[in-house]
Amino acid sequence: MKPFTITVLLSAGFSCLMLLSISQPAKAQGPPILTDTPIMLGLEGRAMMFRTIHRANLHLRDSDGRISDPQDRQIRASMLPLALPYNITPRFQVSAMLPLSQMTMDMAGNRNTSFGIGDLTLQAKQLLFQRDGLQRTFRVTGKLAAQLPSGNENADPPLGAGSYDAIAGVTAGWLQDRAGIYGDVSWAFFRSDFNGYRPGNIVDYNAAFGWRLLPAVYDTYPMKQVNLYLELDGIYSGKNRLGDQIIENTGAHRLFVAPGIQFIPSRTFLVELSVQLPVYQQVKGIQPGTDYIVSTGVRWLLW
Amino acid sequence: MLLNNSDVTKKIKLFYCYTVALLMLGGLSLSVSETSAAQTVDEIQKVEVRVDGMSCMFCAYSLEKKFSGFEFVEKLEINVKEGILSFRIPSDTEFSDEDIEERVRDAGFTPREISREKV
Repeated sequence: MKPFTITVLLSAGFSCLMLLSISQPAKAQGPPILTDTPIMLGLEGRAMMFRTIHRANLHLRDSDGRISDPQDRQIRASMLPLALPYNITPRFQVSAMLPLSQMTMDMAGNRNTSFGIGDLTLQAKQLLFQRDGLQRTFRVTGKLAAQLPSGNENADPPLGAGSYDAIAGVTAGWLQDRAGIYGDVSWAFFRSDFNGYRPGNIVDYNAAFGWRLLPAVYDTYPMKQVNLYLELDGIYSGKNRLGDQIIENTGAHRLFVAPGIQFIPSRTFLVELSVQLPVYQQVKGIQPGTDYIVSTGVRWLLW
Repeated sequence: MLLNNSDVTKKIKLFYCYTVALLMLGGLSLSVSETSAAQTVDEIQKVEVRVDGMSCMFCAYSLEKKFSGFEFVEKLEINVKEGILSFRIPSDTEFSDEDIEERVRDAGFTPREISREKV
């Protein structure tokens, strides 16, 4: 396999996994679908979330856009993250997230598939600010996370990034009556070396607007509920390094728009669907572009 | 068998006596049961708590969990629109406003006014 191919595929694999997993564990408390929420309410902090995420990179891109690929390289990544948050106090939450991942890479008619657990993420989240009113709230949280290399980075394609990562972030949310606006930014500010290889830092930013479609008037709890979301999900990844050398064909800035729908039929259960479509992809060198990401989720509050 | 007037009069008087006695007993028992019912009703208290910050279904679930665990809490209702948590408890239950406020805060909300009334 040519070095270029290895570099492209490895960076694509890492990017897929990081994009799929970097901010998942904090999303178990409720809406919105992709963006983190500062609302750590509920469920005594004990809940489980299952989600399936399918990502397809079906075309190569350069900095000017889509290019033809004689080898027709395609990458598909699926992830089933299991998240478990626990509220130590009403203002402080810890959580763990372990994904089950499947990566498939097609190239020149050959297919490689790997399947197994991905990288474990441990996160602590602190409520920093809270202001409540009748049917409205504004809250801000700060979070610190560590991502551990429990996934096999030597699998082909890799299931883990292979590095110990430290992530810091802040999340804000404002909800009033039927509407909600959320935003979160997280930064993977430290990523350790492995075998001389060091993945680039990552900034992940998201914004969401949510609207309760039904019921128009939420009277007495509980009521069945349908929510619509429009989210913007951005991720900037720096260039990877091998020793002191910067690896070409790595590093990218991608922005997705993601309409989504969520149905809450009962106190402890919801289903949701979101489709992320790329609206901006600026890749460094030649890399696989992301064609779409489909997320289907079930959140089941067991206690 | 033929009865003379005196016997008839005695039986009518006896019937009246029984009837009056029964009516008196009935009235007495009715009065007693009313008193008993009134005492039972007096022992129940409806508590209403104005809660700020309730804006989603899962949020309300958090509040419900904090209060539904008490055996003495009954008829727990959450009016999201009005931001009111209401429930009924026996009047002699020691469940102070401070306890209620602490529970609301633990659920992640801001407690406001608390009112109590006998029902």
